Amino acid sequence: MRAHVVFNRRISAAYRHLGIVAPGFPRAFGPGQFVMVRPSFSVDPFLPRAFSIFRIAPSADSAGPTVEILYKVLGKGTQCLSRMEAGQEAEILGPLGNNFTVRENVEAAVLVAGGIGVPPIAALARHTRNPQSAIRKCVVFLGGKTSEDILCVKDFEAAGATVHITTEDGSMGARGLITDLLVSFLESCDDRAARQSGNQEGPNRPIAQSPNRLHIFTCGPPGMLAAVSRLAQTYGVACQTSVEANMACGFGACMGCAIEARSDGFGPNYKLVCKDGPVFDSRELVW
Amino acid sequence: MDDSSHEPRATRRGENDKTCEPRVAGHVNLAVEFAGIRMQNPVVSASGTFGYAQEFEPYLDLNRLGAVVVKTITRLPRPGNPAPRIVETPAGMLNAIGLQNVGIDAFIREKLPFLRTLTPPLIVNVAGESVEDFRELTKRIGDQEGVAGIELNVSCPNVAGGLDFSTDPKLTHQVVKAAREATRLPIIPKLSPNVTDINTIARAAEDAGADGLSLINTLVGMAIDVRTRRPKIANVTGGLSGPAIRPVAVRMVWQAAQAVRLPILGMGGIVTGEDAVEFLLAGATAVAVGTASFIDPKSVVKVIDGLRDYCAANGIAEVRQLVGGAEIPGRTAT
Repeated sequence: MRAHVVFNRRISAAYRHLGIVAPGFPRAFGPGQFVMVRPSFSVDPFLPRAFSIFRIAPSADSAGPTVEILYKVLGKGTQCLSRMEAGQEAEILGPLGNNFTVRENVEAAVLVAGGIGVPPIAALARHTRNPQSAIRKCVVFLGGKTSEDILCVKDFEAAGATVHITTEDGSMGARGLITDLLVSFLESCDDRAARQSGNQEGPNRPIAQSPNRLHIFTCGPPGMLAAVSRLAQTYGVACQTSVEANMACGFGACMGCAIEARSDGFGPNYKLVCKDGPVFDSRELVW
Repeated sequence: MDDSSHEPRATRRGENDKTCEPRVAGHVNLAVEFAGIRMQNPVVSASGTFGYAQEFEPYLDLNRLGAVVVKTITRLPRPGNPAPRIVETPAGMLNAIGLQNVGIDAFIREKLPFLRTLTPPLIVNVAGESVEDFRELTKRIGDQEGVAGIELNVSCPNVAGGLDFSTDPKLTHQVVKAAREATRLPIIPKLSPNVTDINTIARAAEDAGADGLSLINTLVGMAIDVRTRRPKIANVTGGLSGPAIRPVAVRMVWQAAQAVRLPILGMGGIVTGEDAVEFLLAGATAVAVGTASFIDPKSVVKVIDGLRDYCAANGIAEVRQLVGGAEIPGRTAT
């Protein structure tokens, strides 16, 4: 769909905030859904890039809603995108893929985002503020290498969330990895009384009642997702994870964005990140 | 000749989204007959880039295609290759999907009913691991209602033994002959560019009774991440496609068009109507749009509209007039 850039703001040396006006683009999206974006008339870079939707804002005029994404300038595609200016033409396709789903009985959302994995998590935090949401508590864990990688803190605070921050160099929040804080948090939630009374479902479910109260939603680098997924399993907490893959089309045609899912025993089982995801129950994937 | 890079770029791709709407203007007859299959225009989807067509239904009118060519079907379902399967390369991409597909039974049961509802002719692409596989697949697909032709994928670079059938003229001959004996439908082997002499292979296919040729499948390529020193795709090598390969594809279509009398379905990096014209001038009767459908799902109809615009602007009443129309100074086509 033909669209044009309305803003392409520099957040820091590496991060940008892009707004694209697309006539006819749906106003509604599910947190976790993504768009494929490329500059018009480009054969190099050739492929569009997949970006999680950060926000869709209504337009002042009839030009269509503004689709907002946050991105990190990393390679050829994002470098090219970072040079785009307001008014320039772009192609956008979406909203694509599935989204985070919040079960009705989830009371506390644990949002875990690493680096540029934050946009769908911020969209989810905003979503949980709507009156229909059953979520009463939002706890956010943001991690990055340095303070530059910590984004959207104000967005989370505006959504009424408690925000915990870690950086690997200690330049913001606690020094270390995001999973360090997450472990402490999950330990503190551990309902020992319930465990002692024998009111538990199995050895992997020390928080006997919590699977229905607590739910982890996460997006970030693969190593972090694997670690969070393991913690979720250890503490018996449900976990939805948004993953990334090299993608050519975004709508299930190229089959390039395969990810290995748990198999029923008859050879490997691949899911497509674009169509079956990008959000998966963490137990579904091979980490 | 180089492409018309001196022209404003905006005219080389659809100027606006209206290019996706059918046009009334112009008196251009786009109809062609390819391998005995009548098409309303010479632009089809390339196998492996168009799924089973349904994936594209939200984005374009499938009934505008010249023909629908669907993703390779094998005897048994295939899970495909490990990730990562694709990587972008200059003006193109490498892929090693590994012929992930549902298998012929599920194709007939779940995919074919939708495909039958479409008006353009349906060309089903099949791949076997042996001559007998090809015979059986061709027979079963040929027995189905609503199939206009069968494309033989004898040239997949990403599965074990996938390339063998189109790099050895004897094997090409055996596969095409087996398919020929198994059905009366048009047989179109899709040949590999990864050969020393395309003409030998093309002649082997012709001698064995093929009705047309598809040219070209992807070129075997490789990309290495210089930071990790590892191949960028898990299969190590993959098939290169996109505008990067277009000159190779045009050259091979041009060569094969002079070596055999069979009509050719030309493909390789077509993004615009003018790209399609290049293939027709080289000797292709019809063209397939492949990787372009990934970057823009409307690509096939944009190429149809671009082709019509080219004909209208150049006073060409019948698109067939373009076929083999390349003028080579100082040479006569043999």
